[in-house]
Amino acid sequence: MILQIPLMLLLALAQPPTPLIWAADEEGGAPYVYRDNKLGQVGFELDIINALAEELKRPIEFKQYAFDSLIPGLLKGDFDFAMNGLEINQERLEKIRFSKPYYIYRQQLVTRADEKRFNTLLGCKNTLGAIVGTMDGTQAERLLNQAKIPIRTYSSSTEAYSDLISAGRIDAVFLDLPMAISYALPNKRLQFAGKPTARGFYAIGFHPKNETLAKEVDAAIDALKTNGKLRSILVKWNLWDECQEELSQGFLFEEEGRPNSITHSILEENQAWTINRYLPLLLEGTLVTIQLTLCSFALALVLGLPLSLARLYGTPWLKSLALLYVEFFRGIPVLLLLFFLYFGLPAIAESSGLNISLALSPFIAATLGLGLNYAAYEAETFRAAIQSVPQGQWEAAASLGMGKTLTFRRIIFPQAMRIALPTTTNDLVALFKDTSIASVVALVELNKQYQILAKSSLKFVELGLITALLYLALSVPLGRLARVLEKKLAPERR
Amino acid sequence: MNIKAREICKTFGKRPILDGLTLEVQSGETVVIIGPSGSGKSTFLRCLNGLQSIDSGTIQVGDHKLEASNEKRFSPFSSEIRKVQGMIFQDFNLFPHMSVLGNVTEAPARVLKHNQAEARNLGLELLKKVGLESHANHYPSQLSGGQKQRVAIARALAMKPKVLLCDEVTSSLDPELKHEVLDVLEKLKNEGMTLLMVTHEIGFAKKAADKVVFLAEGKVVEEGPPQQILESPENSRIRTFISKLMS
Repeated sequence: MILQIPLMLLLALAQPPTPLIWAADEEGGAPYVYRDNKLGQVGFELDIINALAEELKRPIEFKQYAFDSLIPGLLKGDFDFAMNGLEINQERLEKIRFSKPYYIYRQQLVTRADEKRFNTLLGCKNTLGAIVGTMDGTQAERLLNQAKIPIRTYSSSTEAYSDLISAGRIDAVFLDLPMAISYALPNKRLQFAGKPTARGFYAIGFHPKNETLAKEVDAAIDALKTNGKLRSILVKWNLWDECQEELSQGFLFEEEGRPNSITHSILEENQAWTINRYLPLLLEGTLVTIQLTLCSFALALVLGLPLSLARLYGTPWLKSLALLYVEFFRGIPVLLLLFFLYFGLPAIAESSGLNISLALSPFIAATLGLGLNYAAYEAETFRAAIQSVPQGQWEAAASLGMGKTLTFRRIIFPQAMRIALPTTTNDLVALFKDTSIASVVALVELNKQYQILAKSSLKFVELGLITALLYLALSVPLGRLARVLEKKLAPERR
Repeated sequence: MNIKAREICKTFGKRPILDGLTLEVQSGETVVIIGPSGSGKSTFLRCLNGLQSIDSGTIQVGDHKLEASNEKRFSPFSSEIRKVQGMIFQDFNLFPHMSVLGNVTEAPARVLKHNQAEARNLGLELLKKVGLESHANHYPSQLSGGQKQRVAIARALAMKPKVLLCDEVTSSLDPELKHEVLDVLEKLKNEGMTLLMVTHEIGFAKKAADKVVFLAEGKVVEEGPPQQILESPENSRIRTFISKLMS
C-alpha cells in the first residue's frame, strides 16, 4: 500500500488522467457558465467544476450543449456528466442518476419596475393578457404550465429579460433565483416581485450506469461542503442565502433520501405519453406552420413582383436599389434576419430614444423575416421568367398598337407566370420547411413543438415519425397542387 | 395608302444594314422585296413599322411620319404608324396563352375599345375570311404552321390596317402549307390591300406582284415589274440570285 502511492503518482505524472467531459449551455446565460464582457468563460458552476477537478485530481473539459438536450445527450453518452442548473425532479430521476445537490434554488418572479398590476404569480394569472417569460425545459416552465399561466419560452435568460425590458412583449419573467440575481437585481428597470418560491435542488446529472463516477463526485461535493469551498464560491457569486445552510445538513440526502417531496404533483400527468396526448399539440404546431407559410409567401410574392419589375424596367436608380435588396436579403441567413427583427429592432427603438415600440410579435417577426428573404428569391424567379418570354411576343403586341403596360399585363405577364410557376412552387415547399427557423423567435410551430415534446418525453423516434408525416402530408399535396395548377394555367399545352 | 421611304440609314454597331435605301409603294400595290441574306430586307420592314429606330432618313406612310431617332431613347411602343400598318412575322408570334379568337380580338378589344360582342363578331368574321372560323376556340399549339400564319393575318387585319408588312411569312412553313397562306394574301391584294412583302416565293411574285425590288447591302439595286426583274434583270447579281433560288 505504501509503495503503491508513489507509483500512482509516477503514473499520474507520466500520463495525465483522461479528462472528464462536462456539458452545459453557455447560451443559457449568467451566472451558471457564460461568457463575460471579455468573452472569457466564467460562472459559479465553472468555479465549482474547478474545485471538483482539484478534489477529484482529474481535469474536466467543457462541452457546449443545448440546455434542453442535456438529458438526451447524457443518455446517448456524449459526455460524462451534465451540470447546468439541472433541477432534480421525479421525471429526470427516472432517467438519470443525480449527484448530491450543490445549490438549493428557488424561483423568482421579476417584473418591470413600473409594474402596478400584480406582484405575485397569482396576481399575474388574474391579469388579463399577461404573459410570463421563462426558459425551455426548466422547472419554472413546468410550474407555470401547471398553474396554467400563459407563457413564452426562450432558450436563454438574457432573451427573456431583454424581451421584458426593451420589447415589452411579456409582462414578467419567472426563472431561477440565480438568473434573477445576475440580471434583474442590477437592472433598475426591473424589480423582484414577491419572495422567491418553489424550492428545489441543482445537482449534477450522470448516466445511470456510471455509478462509479457519480459516487466519486458525490464524495467530492461532500468534501467541498465540509471544507467551505462551496460556500465561498456561492458567496462570491452573491448566491449564498439561508437556504443553502441545509446543503450541509446530511439528513436531506441519505442513501435513499432522494428529494421526493419536492415536485411530485406535476409528475403524475406526465407519465402517460400517448398519441392522444401529443397529437393535438403537434396539430396546433402544424396550424402555426401553415399560417406562417401562407403569410410569409404572400409577402414574398407581393414584394417580389415590384422588385423584379424595378430590376427590369426601372430607372437606373431603382434598378440598383432593387439589386441591392436582392443581393442583401439573399446573402444573409434567415436566422440572422429573424434574430435582428425580433431582438434587434426593439433595442434600436429604445437606444435611439424613439417613442415607438418596434417589438414585433413572434409571428409577425417570423412572417417579415421569411417574407423579406423569399421576396429576393421570387424577384429573381419573376425576372428570369419575364425575360424568357420571347422578344417576338413584345413585337407582335407592339405591331398591333398595344402599349407597353398593356402588353406587359395581357401578353407577357401571364406567360411569365406560367414559366415561373414550377420554380415558385419549389420555393413555396422550401419556405414551408424553412418555417422551422421561426422557433428562434419563440414561435412554437410544428418543428419546435416536436423538439419540446421529444425532449421532455425522450420519444425522439415516434414523435419524429409523426412530425415528418405531418410535414409530408402538407408538402406532397402542395407539389401536386402545383402540377394541377400548371396544367390548368396552360390551356395551350393541353 | 402609299409608303415613301427616303435615304434610310441604319447601322447595328458599326455594321451598316440599311445604306440610304429609298423606296416608294403606291396605294393598293403589291411589292415584293427579294435579296440575299443580310441585305437588310427584314430590318427595312421592321423600321417601316417602327419596331426599330432609323439613324437617318424619313419614312412616310399616308399622313404618318417616322423620323430618325437615337436608338437608346427609342421605344417601339410609341409609334403612331401602326394605326395604318399591320405586320406578319416569320415565326407567327401568336399569343400562346390565348385562344385563336382571343388572339384576334385582343387588340380591337383593348386598344380600339370594342365591346365584347363587337370584337367577337369582328374576330369570327376575320377567321372566316382566312378559313379558320371552326378553330376559334383552339389554342395556337393545336394548329399547323399554315393555320398559325393565317391566324396571325386575321389578328393583324382586326386593327383595320391599310398596309400589311409581311416578313418572310412562308419561310418556316412546309411547302404544301405555303399556298394556303399565299392564297389568303392574294385575296387581300384583290380587295385592295397594300402589301409589302419580303419573300423568296418567286412564283407568287410573278403571279401577284406589281413590283419587285432587289435589295443588296442595304440599297435598292434594281426595281421594276416582276417580268423584268425576275426574267431579264439588268444586273448580273440578280440573275445569279434568282437562278440559285430556282434550283
